[in-house]
Amino acid sequence: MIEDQPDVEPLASAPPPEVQAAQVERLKAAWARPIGWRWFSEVNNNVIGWWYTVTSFAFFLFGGVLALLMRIQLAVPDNTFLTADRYNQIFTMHGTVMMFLFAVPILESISILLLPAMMGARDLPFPRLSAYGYWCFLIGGTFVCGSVFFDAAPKGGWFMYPPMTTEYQKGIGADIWLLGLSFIEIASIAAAVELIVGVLKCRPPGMRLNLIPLYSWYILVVGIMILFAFPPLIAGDILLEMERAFDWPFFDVSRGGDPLLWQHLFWIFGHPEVYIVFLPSIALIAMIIPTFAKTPMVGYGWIVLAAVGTGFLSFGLWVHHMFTTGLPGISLGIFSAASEAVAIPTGIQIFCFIATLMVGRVQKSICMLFAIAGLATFIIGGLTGVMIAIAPFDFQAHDSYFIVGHLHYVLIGGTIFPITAGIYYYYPSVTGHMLSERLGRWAFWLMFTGFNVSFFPMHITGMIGMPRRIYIYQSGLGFETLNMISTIGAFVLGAGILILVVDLFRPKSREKFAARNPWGAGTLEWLAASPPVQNWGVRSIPEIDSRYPLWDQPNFVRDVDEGRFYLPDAEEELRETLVTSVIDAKPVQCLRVAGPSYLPLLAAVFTGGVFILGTYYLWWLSAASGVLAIATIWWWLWTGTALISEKDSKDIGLSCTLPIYVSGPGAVGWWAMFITMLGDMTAFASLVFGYFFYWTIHEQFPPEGSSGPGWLLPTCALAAAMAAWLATIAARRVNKRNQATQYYAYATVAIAASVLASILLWSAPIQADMDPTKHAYEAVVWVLVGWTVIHTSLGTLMLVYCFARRIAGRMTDEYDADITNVTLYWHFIALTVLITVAVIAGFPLVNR
Amino acid sequence: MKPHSRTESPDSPNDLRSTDPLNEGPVALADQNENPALDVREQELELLAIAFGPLVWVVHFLASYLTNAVYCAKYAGESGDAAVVRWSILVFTLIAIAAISAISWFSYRKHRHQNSALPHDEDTAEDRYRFLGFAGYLLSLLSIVAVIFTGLVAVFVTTCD
Repeated sequence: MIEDQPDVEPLASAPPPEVQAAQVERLKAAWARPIGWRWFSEVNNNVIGWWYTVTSFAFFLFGGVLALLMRIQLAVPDNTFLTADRYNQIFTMHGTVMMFLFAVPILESISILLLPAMMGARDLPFPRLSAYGYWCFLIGGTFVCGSVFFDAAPKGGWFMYPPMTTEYQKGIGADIWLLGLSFIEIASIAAAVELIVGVLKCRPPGMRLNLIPLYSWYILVVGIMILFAFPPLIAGDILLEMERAFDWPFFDVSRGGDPLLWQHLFWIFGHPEVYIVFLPSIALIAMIIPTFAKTPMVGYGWIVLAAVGTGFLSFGLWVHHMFTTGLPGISLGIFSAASEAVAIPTGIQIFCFIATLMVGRVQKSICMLFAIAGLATFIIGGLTGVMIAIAPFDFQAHDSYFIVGHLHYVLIGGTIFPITAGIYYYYPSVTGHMLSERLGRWAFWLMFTGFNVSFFPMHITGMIGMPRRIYIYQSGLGFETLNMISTIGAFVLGAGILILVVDLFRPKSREKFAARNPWGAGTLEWLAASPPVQNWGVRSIPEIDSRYPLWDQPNFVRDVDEGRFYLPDAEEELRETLVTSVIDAKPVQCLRVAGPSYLPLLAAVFTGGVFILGTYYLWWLSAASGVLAIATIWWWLWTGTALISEKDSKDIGLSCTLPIYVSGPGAVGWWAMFITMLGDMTAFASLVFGYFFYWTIHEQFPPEGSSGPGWLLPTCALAAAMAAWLATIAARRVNKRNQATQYYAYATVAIAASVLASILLWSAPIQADMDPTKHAYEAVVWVLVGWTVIHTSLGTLMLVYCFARRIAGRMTDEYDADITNVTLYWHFIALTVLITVAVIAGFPLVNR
Repeated sequence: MKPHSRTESPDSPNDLRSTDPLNEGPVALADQNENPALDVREQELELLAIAFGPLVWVVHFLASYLTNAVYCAKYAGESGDAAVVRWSILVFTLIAIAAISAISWFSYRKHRHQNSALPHDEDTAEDRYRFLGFAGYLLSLLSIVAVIFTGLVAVFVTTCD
């Protein structure tokens, strides 16, 4: 056996008190929060995570009020409280807000807030990206929610099915939904990139993959799911908005389109989405249960199986939302089978939780009440889910209140109760105060009773025939009593949530601070001091030997607090954290993370401008805002990323010296580019899927009378793009050898070839006289060309950036992260151009 | 990556690590179990390896679904006979089960490396190696079940209706 490195031990004796005090002062200076109005420039995960959580919780309350309005309307038959149009806006916004502005963001925000603490990191690797995501979310969310007050809200349901949303709803509501949410989805993907890189590369030394907290496993899976689930929706949004704004007939049957394509793209996103919100919530339960059972989680490996297995299987379920659309029987069967199979991993993790509770000695608490209520409720929702996964049953229950009952059991049991458990659990670590047990008990029983009284009868209402999404029903159909019960339950649930809100926000300055680690937990986030004063996370970054270091490692808290572990100091008064290797978490880099800046806020405002001005079809202003956004991001990258450090390496203590600057696959930036491009390719694949979807529904494709883009211009474009790609690779190589002249020569060739590729590809459909409004075929070719040209143009911009960086001396042979990451980008672009040309020029040749 | 001066353990001559995970050397598989010089040190692809079983499920799932969708839409018509699809799915299923069985065998050997028992929660490279084997093993079992579920559809449903 080859010996692994011997384990590193903390310093045998504490540094002298004056040394410790000086270290703390320097850490304080490095991580000091900006004060006054400059507070808004803060990017640290503690602050951004907190803003993010509070904002998404506010959207949750807004969505809840909308739900109560609906329940008032449905309380009695023939009610005139809301008009049909107003009701449609409210139910659309309720679903939209709860899914896009609450469920996904709050889980990302909780992770931004807590994940670094769970991994003993001082911050996430890209704090400014988190800040950018937050501001995008705030601007987009406020814009979308605000539309309700101007009677302009979307009203096509949270799934926006065409042709309802293309032909019958001419207002700007659907545009607000499409553009506002695309904008927010960018924020979600940004957070996913941040969290994936965080879990993989920013763990404390020694935290091997078999020792990481279960929460991190779940977040890793969820981050990857977001990467593959959100892009299809972005692709769908592009198609639907192009149809609304420019009359490209993607979903118009009379011109070769098909509304079912939207349903596919929407539900390829929509079903994984359910697990994207469920897994992080259950992850909170996976942190809470061992603490209150006072024993390590039973079946750690089985839970990893459950998280990863659910992540995969959840992508094979989307058609069960489309069982009644007339797809072939075998297709229905395949999706039905996967929908049943996903119950297996879901069940396994619940058995692990139950086993842990049986093995341990369970301590009663409000957290446990909510956690167990969440599991019980989710199990009921899961069982009705198994029922409707069977296609013939679904044919009957489809679009009835049975579905409304089912989905609320899944979502409230799977997210709201676990998140509330998480709020009670983590409140002391974030604020230093405990929430009230007495109010908690009231909140719990009101929420739990109210929820069941409200939603259980809906199963019956649905079974006796009440369709969903109706704003009114006549008396005498047997719906009255059940609906009244549901409404009463909804208000009881609302009262419970109100008590929770009161408890959260009541002033607590006169109360004593909670004890440190008040629940006696074993994981790293409970190193947090009480009251929480520092921005920097842990005092020193520990070496991990166990899944529950606070329980298992002797003198652990003392050693961390006295700075006996890694990076106890910030000599240069710069914000730093450790980067470790993916598998065994060996330290590989001392990463300088970004400090406060307004640039993310500014970039978010301009990015928001692109989408919000686009909603009103103000295309020139929208484009101008886009240019400003690009300029801001350029400035942000130029001044804040891949900075050449004043020295090569740094001693982080315990005789470990690490490089400060890393490029290539060891660097977090390389990983972020790689992960982002995986998401980007997924969106592209969705557009290609659209092309072949049209092929399957048409006898002849390309259709009679449609001239394709030909093969000559696309092939020339491909050749130019390949030349640009190869020249980029060559430029990176010669830069590495410090051959400056050759570097500039290759970079110039790459820039010129990439511009040429964009022009040639763009000219192909123009030269062939293809009119995108004529037929879905022309439209889908145009959308593929447009997508590709946007990417090659961005590639050009990046090459110019690297050219300028070298001239400015901000990039050298040794410090070459910029060109390395741009080369990685170009690998993906070469593939994109190749596929586009093969599809638009090659496929018509072989298919004729 | 720039070389750094951190004191590494004396690296063995057969160090498989490289700075580029895409050009990674072969993952040390458990079929070298009896080899006393088995290298359990980290390989970046090792994490991806736990997903090999589910990845086969993905390929099987997409192949089955797309074959059916394209065949029924383009060739068979709405209530046409789907024998071609059913035979294809049968073949896909056999291939997938064979592939996942192999994966589960390799992961099981990793899990049982030196006959160590669960929970694989020691702070050693060996236990991390075993743990990833165990996770891959469980995932491949789940994948086999899911593949059989999909395959069974072709047994019971006979037409494109």
